[in-house]
Amino acid sequence: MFGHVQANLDDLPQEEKKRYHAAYCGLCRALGERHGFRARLGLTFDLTFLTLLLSSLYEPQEQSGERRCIVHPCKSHPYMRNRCTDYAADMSVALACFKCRDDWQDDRRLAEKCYASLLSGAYGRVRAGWPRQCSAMESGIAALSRIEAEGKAPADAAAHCFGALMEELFVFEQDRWEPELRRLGHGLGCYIYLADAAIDYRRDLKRGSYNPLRSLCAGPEGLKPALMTLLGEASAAFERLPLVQDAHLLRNILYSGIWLKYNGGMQREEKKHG
Amino acid sequence: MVDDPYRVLGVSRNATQEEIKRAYRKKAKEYHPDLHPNDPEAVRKMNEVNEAYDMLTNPEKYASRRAQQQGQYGGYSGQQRQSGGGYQGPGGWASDFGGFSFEDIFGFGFADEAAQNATRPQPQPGDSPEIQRVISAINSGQYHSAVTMLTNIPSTGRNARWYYLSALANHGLGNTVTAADHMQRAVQLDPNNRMYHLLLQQFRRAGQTYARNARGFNMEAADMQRLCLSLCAAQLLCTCCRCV
Repeated sequence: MFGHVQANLDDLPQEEKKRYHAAYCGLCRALGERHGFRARLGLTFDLTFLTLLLSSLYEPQEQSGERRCIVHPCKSHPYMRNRCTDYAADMSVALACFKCRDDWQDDRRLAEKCYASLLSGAYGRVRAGWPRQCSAMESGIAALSRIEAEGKAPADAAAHCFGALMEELFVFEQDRWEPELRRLGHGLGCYIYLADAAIDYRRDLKRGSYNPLRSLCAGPEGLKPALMTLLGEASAAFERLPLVQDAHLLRNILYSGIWLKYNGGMQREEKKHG
Repeated sequence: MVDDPYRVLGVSRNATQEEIKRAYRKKAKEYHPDLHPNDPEAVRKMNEVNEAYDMLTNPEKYASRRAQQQGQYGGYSGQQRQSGGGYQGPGGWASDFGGFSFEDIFGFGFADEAAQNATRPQPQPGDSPEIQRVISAINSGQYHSAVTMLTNIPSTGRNARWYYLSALANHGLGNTVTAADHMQRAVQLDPNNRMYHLLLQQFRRAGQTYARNARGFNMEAADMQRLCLSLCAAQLLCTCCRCV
Protein backbone atom coordinates (compact mmCIF):
# COMPACT_ATOMS: atom_id res chain seq x y z
CA MET A 1 0.00 0.00 0.00
CA PHE A 2 2.72 2.48 0.90
CA GLY A 3 5.65 3.63 -1.18
CA HIS A 4 3.71 5.11 -4.09
CA VAL A 5 4.29 8.74 -3.08
CA GLN A 6 8.03 8.76 -3.71
CA ALA A 7 10.53 10.85 -5.64
CA ASN A 8 11.90 9.95 -9.04
CA LEU A 9 15.56 10.28 -8.07
CA ASP A 10 16.79 9.90 -11.66
CA ASP A 11 15.21 13.25 -12.49
CA LEU A 12 16.41 15.23 -9.50
CA PRO A 13 19.48 17.48 -9.35
CA GLN A 14 22.02 16.54 -6.69
CA GLU A 15 20.90 19.24 -4.23
CA GLU A 16 17.32 18.00 -4.27
CA LYS A 17 18.39 14.36 -3.91
CA LYS A 18 20.32 15.39 -0.80
CA ARG A 19 17.33 17.32 0.51
CA TYR A 20 15.02 14.33 0.00
CA HIS A 21 17.49 12.03 1.67
CA ALA A 22 17.87 14.47 4.57
CA ALA A 23 14.09 14.59 5.08
CA TYR A 24 13.94 10.77 4.97
CA CYS A 25 16.79 10.42 7.46
CA GLY A 26 15.26 13.08 9.68
CA LEU A 27 11.99 11.18 9.73
CA CYS A 28 13.84 8.00 10.62
CA ARG A 29 15.60 9.75 13.52
CA ALA A 30 12.33 11.26 14.74
CA LEU A 31 10.69 7.83 14.69
CA GLY A 32 13.53 6.30 16.66
CA GLU A 33 13.76 9.09 19.20
CA ARG A 34 10.04 9.48 19.75
CA HIS A 35 8.88 5.87 19.54
CA GLY A 36 11.86 3.57 19.86
CA PHE A 37 14.08 1.72 17.48
CA ARG A 38 11.42 -0.68 16.18
CA ALA A 39 9.20 2.21 15.11
CA ARG A 40 11.78 3.07 12.43
CA LEU A 41 10.51 0.12 10.46
CA GLY A 42 7.38 2.23 9.85
CA LEU A 43 9.44 4.66 7.78
CA THR A 44 7.83 5.35 4.38
CA PHE A 45 8.44 7.59 1.39
CA ASP A 46 4.81 8.67 1.60
CA LEU A 47 5.31 10.33 4.96
CA THR A 48 8.63 11.75 3.82
CA PHE A 49 6.51 13.55 1.20
CA LEU A 50 4.14 14.73 3.94
CA THR A 51 7.12 16.03 5.94
CA LEU A 52 8.40 18.03 2.98
CA LEU A 53 4.90 19.28 2.07
CA LEU A 54 4.08 20.53 5.56
CA SER A 55 7.60 21.94 5.98
CA SER A 56 7.13 23.89 2.76
CA LEU A 57 3.74 25.20 3.89
CA TYR A 58 4.74 26.22 7.43
CA GLU A 59 8.49 26.78 6.98
CA PRO A 60 9.24 25.88 10.59
CA GLN A 61 12.69 26.21 12.09
CA GLU A 62 14.84 23.31 10.99
CA GLN A 63 17.55 21.42 12.75
CA SER A 64 20.04 19.74 10.54
CA GLY A 65 23.19 17.79 11.01
CA GLU A 66 25.08 14.72 10.00
CA ARG A 67 24.97 11.44 11.78
CA ARG A 68 25.91 7.84 11.38
CA CYS A 69 23.28 5.29 12.23
CA ILE A 70 22.83 1.57 12.51
CA VAL A 71 21.96 1.28 8.83
CA HIS A 72 24.78 3.58 7.78
CA PRO A 73 27.50 2.84 10.34
CA CYS A 74 30.50 3.98 8.30
CA LYS A 75 29.54 7.22 6.62
CA SER A 76 27.55 9.97 8.27
CA HIS A 77 24.48 11.20 6.42
CA PRO A 78 22.85 14.61 6.58
CA TYR A 79 19.41 14.84 8.14
CA MET A 80 16.82 17.56 8.50
CA ARG A 81 14.22 17.70 11.24
CA ASN A 82 11.48 20.08 12.40
CA ARG A 83 8.07 19.93 14.04
CA CYS A 84 6.51 18.67 10.82
CA THR A 85 8.97 15.75 10.86
CA ASP A 86 7.86 14.89 14.38
CA TYR A 87 4.21 15.01 13.30
CA ALA A 88 4.96 12.74 10.33
CA ALA A 89 6.76 10.35 12.68
CA ASP A 90 3.67 10.10 14.85
CA MET A 91 1.48 9.57 11.80
CA SER A 92 3.90 6.87 10.60
CA VAL A 93 3.26 4.91 13.80
CA ALA A 94 -0.49 5.21 13.31
CA LEU A 95 -0.21 4.08 9.68
CA ALA A 96 2.19 1.24 10.50
CA CYS A 97 -0.33 -0.19 12.96
CA PHE A 98 -2.98 0.15 10.27
CA LYS A 99 -0.80 -1.57 7.71
CA CYS A 100 -0.02 -4.45 10.07
CA ARG A 101 -3.62 -5.03 11.00
CA ASP A 102 -4.61 -4.71 7.36
CA ASP A 103 -1.97 -7.17 6.14
CA TRP A 104 -2.89 -9.60 8.90
CA GLN A 105 -6.49 -9.55 7.80
CA ASP A 106 -5.50 -9.78 4.16
CA ASP A 107 -2.74 -12.30 4.12
CA ARG A 108 -2.24 -13.62 7.62
CA ARG A 109 1.33 -12.43 7.80
CA LEU A 110 2.30 -13.40 11.30
CA ALA A 111 5.40 -11.23 11.52
CA GLU A 112 3.33 -8.14 10.95
CA LYS A 113 0.78 -9.06 13.60
CA CYS A 114 3.66 -9.30 16.06
CA TYR A 115 4.99 -5.95 14.91
CA ALA A 116 1.57 -4.41 15.51
CA SER A 117 1.51 -5.58 19.09
CA LEU A 118 5.08 -4.31 19.62
CA LEU A 119 4.02 -0.90 18.48
CA SER A 120 0.82 -0.76 20.45
CA GLY A 121 2.48 1.21 23.26
CA ALA A 122 3.69 3.79 20.76
CA TYR A 123 0.25 3.89 19.17
CA GLY A 124 -1.35 4.63 22.53
CA ARG A 125 0.89 7.69 22.89
CA VAL A 126 0.18 8.84 19.34
CA ARG A 127 -3.54 8.43 19.87
CA ALA A 128 -3.42 10.57 22.98
CA GLY A 129 -1.56 13.27 21.07
CA TRP A 130 -3.60 13.18 17.86
CA PRO A 131 -7.09 11.87 18.64
CA ARG A 132 -8.74 13.32 15.49
CA GLN A 133 -6.34 11.59 13.10
CA CYS A 134 -6.30 8.29 14.98
CA SER A 135 -10.03 7.99 15.33
CA ALA A 136 -10.36 8.70 11.59
CA MET A 137 -7.84 5.93 11.00
CA GLU A 138 -9.73 3.50 13.21
CA SER A 139 -13.14 4.20 11.71
CA GLY A 140 -11.59 4.15 8.23
CA ILE A 141 -10.09 0.71 8.82
CA ALA A 142 -13.42 -0.57 10.14
CA ALA A 143 -15.35 0.85 7.19
CA LEU A 144 -12.81 -0.52 4.71
CA SER A 145 -12.99 -3.98 6.29
CA ARG A 146 -16.77 -3.93 5.95
CA ILE A 147 -16.63 -2.83 2.30
CA GLU A 148 -14.02 -5.44 1.45
CA ALA A 149 -15.91 -8.19 3.26
CA GLU A 150 -19.20 -7.41 1.49
CA GLY A 151 -17.50 -7.04 -1.89
CA LYS A 152 -20.52 -5.37 -3.50
CA ALA A 153 -19.79 -1.66 -3.21
CA PRO A 154 -18.50 0.31 -6.23
CA ALA A 155 -14.75 0.86 -6.54
CA ASP A 156 -15.18 4.44 -5.40
CA ALA A 157 -16.52 3.45 -1.98
CA ALA A 158 -13.33 1.69 -0.90
CA ALA A 159 -11.09 4.30 -2.53
CA HIS A 160 -12.91 7.19 -0.86
CA CYS A 161 -12.72 5.36 2.46
CA PHE A 162 -8.95 5.26 2.24
CA GLY A 163 -8.95 8.82 0.89
CA ALA A 164 -10.91 10.00 3.94
CA LEU A 165 -8.38 8.35 6.23
CA MET A 166 -5.40 9.94 4.44
CA GLU A 167 -6.95 13.41 4.26
CA GLU A 168 -7.20 13.48 8.03
CA LEU A 169 -3.45 12.85 8.34
CA PHE A 170 -2.67 15.66 5.94
CA VAL A 171 -4.38 18.21 8.17
CA PHE A 172 -1.64 19.06 10.65
CA GLU A 173 -3.06 22.33 11.95
CA GLN A 174 -6.71 23.15 11.41
CA ASP A 175 -6.22 26.47 9.66
CA ARG A 176 -6.98 28.20 6.36
CA TRP A 177 -5.04 25.55 4.41
CA GLU A 178 -7.14 22.71 5.73
CA PRO A 179 -9.53 22.45 2.72
CA GLU A 180 -6.70 22.22 0.19
CA LEU A 181 -4.71 19.79 2.33
CA ARG A 182 -7.84 17.64 2.59
CA ARG A 183 -8.33 17.61 -1.19
CA LEU A 184 -4.68 16.75 -1.69
CA GLY A 185 -4.68 13.99 0.94
CA HIS A 186 -7.98 12.58 -0.27
CA GLY A 187 -6.93 12.44 -3.90
CA LEU A 188 -3.61 10.82 -3.02
CA GLY A 189 -5.37 8.30 -0.78
CA CYS A 190 -7.78 7.30 -3.58
CA TYR A 191 -4.87 7.02 -6.02
CA ILE A 192 -2.80 4.85 -3.64
CA TYR A 193 -5.71 2.51 -2.96
CA LEU A 194 -6.66 2.01 -6.62
CA ALA A 195 -3.10 1.85 -7.96
CA ASP A 196 -2.41 -0.91 -5.45
CA ALA A 197 -5.63 -2.66 -6.50
CA ALA A 198 -4.50 -2.56 -10.14
CA ILE A 199 -1.13 -4.15 -9.32
CA ASP A 200 -2.77 -6.82 -7.10
CA TYR A 201 -5.67 -7.51 -9.46
CA ARG A 202 -4.53 -10.84 -10.89
CA ARG A 203 -3.29 -12.09 -7.53
CA ASP A 204 -6.64 -11.24 -5.92
CA LEU A 205 -8.57 -12.84 -8.76
CA LYS A 206 -6.61 -16.08 -8.34
CA ARG A 207 -7.14 -16.11 -4.59
CA GLY A 208 -10.77 -15.05 -4.75
CA SER A 209 -9.88 -12.01 -2.62
CA TYR A 210 -11.68 -8.71 -2.79
CA ASN A 211 -10.49 -6.26 -5.42
CA PRO A 212 -12.38 -3.00 -6.05
CA LEU A 213 -11.58 -3.05 -9.77
CA ARG A 214 -13.77 -6.09 -10.33
CA SER A 215 -16.78 -3.77 -10.36
CA LEU A 216 -15.34 -1.78 -13.30
CA CYS A 217 -15.82 -2.55 -17.01
CA ALA A 218 -12.32 -1.49 -17.97
CA GLY A 219 -10.40 -3.55 -15.41
CA PRO A 220 -6.86 -2.69 -14.27
CA GLU A 221 -5.53 -1.94 -17.76
CA GLY A 222 -8.12 0.79 -18.26
CA LEU A 223 -7.58 2.47 -14.93
CA LYS A 224 -5.01 5.07 -15.95
CA PRO A 225 -7.49 7.84 -16.95
CA ALA A 226 -9.21 7.46 -13.57
CA LEU A 227 -5.87 7.60 -11.76
CA MET A 228 -5.01 10.78 -13.65
CA THR A 229 -8.33 12.34 -12.71
CA LEU A 230 -7.71 11.55 -9.05
CA LEU A 231 -4.19 12.97 -9.21
CA GLY A 232 -5.57 15.92 -11.17
CA GLU A 233 -7.84 16.85 -8.29
CA ALA A 234 -5.06 16.31 -5.76
CA SER A 235 -2.46 18.27 -7.70
CA ALA A 236 -4.88 21.15 -8.34
CA ALA A 237 -5.15 21.52 -4.57
CA PHE A 238 -1.37 21.30 -4.26
CA GLU A 239 -0.91 24.08 -6.82
CA ARG A 240 -3.23 26.36 -4.85
CA LEU A 241 -1.02 26.17 -1.75
CA PRO A 242 1.65 28.89 -1.41
CA LEU A 243 4.57 26.47 -1.62
CA VAL A 244 7.97 27.83 -2.55
CA GLN A 245 10.47 25.80 -0.51
CA ASP A 246 11.21 22.42 -2.16
CA ALA A 247 8.49 23.10 -4.77
CA HIS A 248 10.35 21.33 -7.59
CA LEU A 249 11.08 18.30 -5.42
CA LEU A 250 7.44 18.09 -4.37
CA ARG A 251 6.32 18.34 -8.01
CA ASN A 252 8.80 15.62 -8.97
CA ILE A 253 6.97 13.39 -6.50
CA LEU A 254 3.44 14.36 -7.56
CA TYR A 255 3.98 14.33 -11.33
CA SER A 256 6.66 11.68 -11.80
CA GLY A 257 7.72 9.64 -8.80
CA ILE A 258 4.14 8.73 -7.93
CA TRP A 259 3.97 6.60 -11.09
CA LEU A 260 7.11 4.56 -10.36
CA LYS A 261 5.51 1.83 -8.30
CA TYR A 262 2.35 1.65 -10.44
CA ASN A 263 4.23 1.53 -13.77
CA GLY A 264 6.75 -0.98 -12.43
CA GLY A 265 4.05 -3.17 -10.93
CA MET A 266 1.89 -3.12 -14.08
CA GLN A 267 4.90 -3.92 -16.29
CA ARG A 268 5.87 -6.85 -14.07
CA GLU A 269 2.30 -8.17 -14.20
CA GLU A 270 2.31 -7.80 -17.96
CA LYS A 271 5.57 -9.79 -18.24
CA LYS A 272 4.28 -12.54 -15.95
CA HIS A 273 0.96 -13.03 -17.68
CA GLY A 274 1.47 -11.60 -21.17
CA MET B 1 -13.29 42.67 0.15
CA VAL B 2 -9.80 43.57 -1.03
CA ASP B 3 -9.98 45.95 -3.99
CA ASP B 4 -6.77 45.11 -5.72
CA PRO B 5 -5.15 41.80 -4.76
CA TYR B 6 -2.11 42.52 -6.94
CA ARG B 7 -1.39 45.74 -5.04
CA VAL B 8 -1.82 44.05 -1.65
CA LEU B 9 0.71 41.36 -2.59
CA GLY B 10 2.97 43.84 -4.37
CA VAL B 11 2.99 42.02 -7.72
CA SER B 12 2.28 43.09 -11.28
CA ARG B 13 -0.85 42.06 -13.11
CA ASN B 14 1.28 39.71 -15.24
CA ALA B 15 2.68 37.94 -12.21
CA THR B 16 3.12 34.20 -12.55
CA GLN B 17 1.68 31.72 -10.08
CA GLU B 18 5.23 31.32 -8.73
CA GLU B 19 5.69 35.07 -8.20
CA ILE B 20 2.35 35.33 -6.41
CA LYS B 21 3.32 32.52 -4.04
CA ARG B 22 6.70 34.11 -3.27
CA ALA B 23 5.03 37.48 -2.71
CA TYR B 24 2.52 35.86 -0.36
CA ARG B 25 5.27 34.24 1.68
CA LYS B 26 7.19 37.50 1.89
CA LYS B 27 4.14 39.43 3.11
CA ALA B 28 3.17 36.66 5.52
CA LYS B 29 6.61 36.87 7.11
CA GLU B 30 6.20 40.66 7.48
CA TYR B 31 2.82 40.56 9.19
CA HIS B 32 2.96 37.24 11.00
CA PRO B 33 1.12 37.52 14.35
CA ASP B 34 4.14 36.05 16.17
CA LEU B 35 6.16 39.11 15.09
CA HIS B 36 3.40 41.57 16.02
CA PRO B 37 1.70 40.39 19.20
CA ASN B 38 -1.42 42.34 20.13
CA ASP B 39 -1.21 44.45 17.02
CA PRO B 40 -4.63 44.80 15.38
CA GLU B 41 -3.15 46.58 12.36
CA ALA B 42 -0.87 43.60 11.65
CA VAL B 43 -3.89 41.28 12.00
CA ARG B 44 -5.85 43.40 9.52
CA LYS B 45 -2.95 43.41 7.07
CA MET B 46 -2.45 39.63 7.41
CA ASN B 47 -6.15 39.06 6.68
CA GLU B 48 -5.85 41.31 3.63
CA VAL B 49 -2.83 39.38 2.39
CA ASN B 50 -4.64 36.07 2.92
CA GLU B 51 -7.70 37.34 1.09
CA ALA B 52 -5.62 38.70 -1.79
CA TYR B 53 -3.90 35.33 -2.19
CA ASP B 54 -7.25 33.55 -2.08
CA MET B 55 -8.66 35.89 -4.74
CA LEU B 56 -5.83 35.16 -7.13
CA THR B 57 -5.81 31.41 -6.47
CA ASN B 58 -9.56 30.78 -6.32
CA PRO B 59 -11.07 33.49 -8.53
CA GLU B 60 -14.29 31.55 -9.09
CA LYS B 61 -15.14 32.06 -5.41
CA TYR B 62 -15.22 35.79 -5.99
CA ALA B 63 -16.77 35.72 -9.47
CA SER B 64 -20.20 37.00 -8.46
CA ARG B 65 -18.75 39.79 -6.30
CA ARG B 66 -16.34 40.60 -9.10
CA ALA B 67 -19.16 40.81 -11.64
CA GLN B 68 -20.78 43.49 -9.50
CA GLN B 69 -17.56 45.44 -9.35
CA GLN B 70 -16.56 44.87 -12.96
CA GLY B 71 -16.47 48.59 -13.73
CA GLN B 72 -14.00 49.42 -10.97
CA TYR B 73 -10.89 47.66 -12.12
CA GLY B 74 -11.87 45.64 -15.17
CA GLY B 75 -11.43 42.19 -13.70
CA TYR B 76 -8.27 40.15 -13.27
CA SER B 77 -5.87 40.16 -16.13
CA GLY B 78 -4.24 36.93 -17.17
CA GLN B 79 -7.34 34.87 -16.56
CA GLN B 80 -8.80 33.50 -19.75
CA ARG B 81 -11.72 31.15 -19.67
CA GLN B 82 -11.11 28.09 -21.73
CA SER B 83 -14.07 26.20 -23.07
CA GLY B 84 -15.01 23.39 -20.76
CA GLY B 85 -15.08 25.52 -17.65
CA GLY B 86 -11.41 25.29 -16.73
CA TYR B 87 -9.32 28.42 -16.41
CA GLN B 88 -5.68 29.30 -16.65
CA GLY B 89 -4.39 30.76 -13.41
CA PRO B 90 -2.08 33.76 -13.69
CA GLY B 91 0.70 32.71 -16.03
CA GLY B 92 1.19 29.20 -14.81
CA TRP B 93 -0.46 26.05 -13.67
CA ALA B 94 -3.89 25.27 -15.01
CA SER B 95 -6.63 24.67 -12.48
CA ASP B 96 -10.03 23.14 -12.42
CA PHE B 97 -13.15 23.46 -10.42
CA GLY B 98 -13.60 20.29 -8.43
CA GLY B 99 -16.83 19.07 -6.98
CA PHE B 100 -19.64 16.78 -7.85
CA SER B 101 -22.30 19.13 -9.15
CA PHE B 102 -22.91 19.36 -12.85
CA GLU B 103 -22.65 23.15 -12.63
CA ASP B 104 -19.12 22.65 -11.34
CA ILE B 105 -18.15 20.14 -13.95
CA PHE B 106 -19.45 22.19 -16.83
CA GLY B 107 -18.50 25.54 -15.38
CA PHE B 108 -19.56 28.99 -16.39
CA GLY B 109 -20.18 29.87 -19.98
CA PHE B 110 -19.87 26.39 -21.37
CA ALA B 111 -21.14 26.99 -24.86
CA ASP B 112 -21.83 23.53 -26.16
CA GLU B 113 -25.56 23.04 -25.90
CA ALA B 114 -25.36 19.36 -26.67
CA ALA B 115 -23.16 18.68 -23.68
CA GLN B 116 -25.23 20.94 -21.43
CA ASN B 117 -28.30 18.94 -22.37
CA ALA B 118 -26.43 15.70 -21.77
CA THR B 119 -26.49 16.17 -18.03
CA ARG B 120 -30.29 16.30 -18.08
CA PRO B 121 -31.21 13.08 -19.88
CA GLN B 122 -34.37 13.25 -21.94
CA PRO B 123 -36.70 10.31 -22.51
CA GLN B 124 -36.42 8.86 -25.99
CA PRO B 125 -38.87 6.77 -27.98
CA GLY B 126 -38.00 3.15 -27.29
CA ASP B 127 -37.10 3.75 -23.62
CA SER B 128 -38.53 1.06 -21.39
CA PRO B 129 -40.67 2.12 -18.40
CA GLU B 130 -37.74 1.30 -16.11
CA ILE B 131 -35.41 3.60 -18.09
CA GLN B 132 -38.03 6.35 -18.01
CA ARG B 133 -38.16 6.04 -14.21
CA VAL B 134 -34.34 6.17 -14.06
CA ILE B 135 -34.32 9.36 -16.17
CA SER B 136 -36.91 10.94 -13.93
CA ALA B 137 -34.91 10.00 -10.81
CA ILE B 138 -31.68 11.47 -12.21
CA ASN B 139 -33.42 14.70 -13.18
CA SER B 140 -34.82 15.08 -9.69
CA GLY B 141 -31.44 14.37 -8.08
CA GLN B 142 -32.46 10.98 -6.69
CA TYR B 143 -29.23 9.32 -7.74
CA HIS B 144 -29.35 6.51 -5.21
CA SER B 145 -32.75 5.45 -6.46
CA ALA B 146 -31.54 5.73 -10.07
CA VAL B 147 -28.52 3.48 -9.38
CA THR B 148 -30.71 0.89 -7.63
CA MET B 149 -33.14 0.78 -10.55
CA LEU B 150 -30.28 0.53 -13.04
CA THR B 151 -28.71 -2.36 -11.09
CA ASN B 152 -32.00 -4.24 -11.32
CA ILE B 153 -31.87 -4.17 -15.11
CA PRO B 154 -30.23 -7.46 -16.15
CA SER B 155 -26.96 -7.38 -18.09
CA THR B 156 -28.76 -8.29 -21.30
CA GLY B 157 -30.47 -4.91 -21.12
CA ARG B 158 -27.27 -2.91 -20.56
CA ASN B 159 -26.65 -1.00 -23.75
CA ALA B 160 -24.82 2.28 -24.36
CA ARG B 161 -27.78 4.25 -23.04
CA TRP B 162 -27.80 2.21 -19.84
CA TYR B 163 -24.12 2.99 -19.29
CA TYR B 164 -24.67 6.69 -20.07
CA LEU B 165 -27.46 6.92 -17.49
CA SER B 166 -25.44 4.89 -15.00
CA ALA B 167 -22.52 7.29 -15.46
CA LEU B 168 -24.73 10.27 -14.67
CA ALA B 169 -26.33 8.60 -11.66
CA ASN B 170 -22.98 7.46 -10.25
CA HIS B 171 -21.48 10.87 -10.82
CA GLY B 172 -24.32 12.36 -8.83
CA LEU B 173 -23.42 10.03 -5.97
CA GLY B 174 -19.76 11.01 -6.11
CA ASN B 175 -18.67 7.69 -7.62
CA THR B 176 -16.39 9.46 -10.06
CA VAL B 177 -14.29 6.41 -10.95
CA THR B 178 -17.37 4.29 -11.73
CA ALA B 179 -18.97 7.21 -13.58
CA ALA B 180 -15.98 7.66 -15.88
CA ASP B 181 -15.72 3.88 -16.37
CA HIS B 182 -19.37 3.63 -17.41
CA MET B 183 -19.15 6.70 -19.64
CA GLN B 184 -16.17 5.09 -21.38
CA ARG B 185 -18.20 1.92 -21.90
CA ALA B 186 -21.08 3.96 -23.36
CA VAL B 187 -18.66 5.48 -25.87
CA GLN B 188 -17.31 2.02 -26.77
CA LEU B 189 -20.82 0.69 -27.36
CA ASP B 190 -21.98 3.74 -29.34
CA PRO B 191 -18.88 5.39 -30.80
CA ASN B 192 -20.87 7.70 -33.07
CA ASN B 193 -22.64 9.42 -30.23
CA ARG B 194 -21.01 12.87 -29.96
CA MET B 195 -22.73 13.66 -26.69
CA TYR B 196 -21.15 10.62 -25.02
CA HIS B 197 -17.68 11.68 -26.25
CA LEU B 198 -18.17 15.20 -24.88
CA LEU B 199 -19.31 13.93 -21.51
CA LEU B 200 -16.37 11.53 -21.29
CA GLN B 201 -14.05 14.47 -21.98
CA GLN B 202 -15.66 16.39 -19.14
CA PHE B 203 -15.29 13.50 -16.72
CA ARG B 204 -11.61 13.31 -17.59
CA ARG B 205 -10.97 17.04 -17.52
CA ALA B 206 -9.05 17.07 -14.24
CA GLY B 207 -6.82 14.34 -15.64
CA GLN B 208 -6.12 16.40 -18.77
CA THR B 209 -5.18 19.37 -16.60
CA TYR B 210 -2.86 17.06 -14.65
CA ALA B 211 -1.19 15.92 -17.88
CA ARG B 212 -0.60 19.56 -18.87
CA ASN B 213 0.88 20.40 -15.46
CA ALA B 214 3.05 17.29 -15.64
CA ARG B 215 4.88 18.50 -18.76
CA GLY B 216 8.57 18.37 -18.04
CA PHE B 217 8.10 15.48 -15.61
CA ASN B 218 8.42 11.85 -16.58
CA MET B 219 5.16 10.04 -15.94
CA GLU B 220 6.34 6.87 -17.64
CA ALA B 221 9.19 6.06 -15.24
CA ALA B 222 8.90 2.63 -13.74
CA ASP B 223 10.36 1.20 -10.60
CA MET B 224 11.97 -1.94 -11.86
CA GLN B 225 13.17 -3.09 -8.46
CA ARG B 226 10.79 -4.92 -6.25
CA LEU B 227 10.57 -1.92 -3.95
CA CYS B 228 8.37 -3.28 -1.25
CA LEU B 229 8.45 -1.39 1.99
CA SER B 230 7.73 -4.44 4.04
CA LEU B 231 8.86 -4.27 7.58
CA CYS B 232 12.37 -5.56 7.73
CA ALA B 233 15.74 -3.90 8.27
CA ALA B 234 17.22 -5.29 5.07
CA GLN B 235 14.62 -3.42 3.05
CA LEU B 236 15.39 -0.28 5.04
CA LEU B 237 19.01 -0.65 4.01
CA CYS B 238 17.98 -0.99 0.36
CA THR B 239 15.76 2.06 0.26
CA CYS B 240 18.32 4.29 2.04
CA CYS B 241 21.08 3.33 -0.34
CA ARG B 242 18.95 4.16 -3.37
CA CYS B 243 18.97 7.73 -2.21
CA VAL B 244 22.74 8.14 -2.22
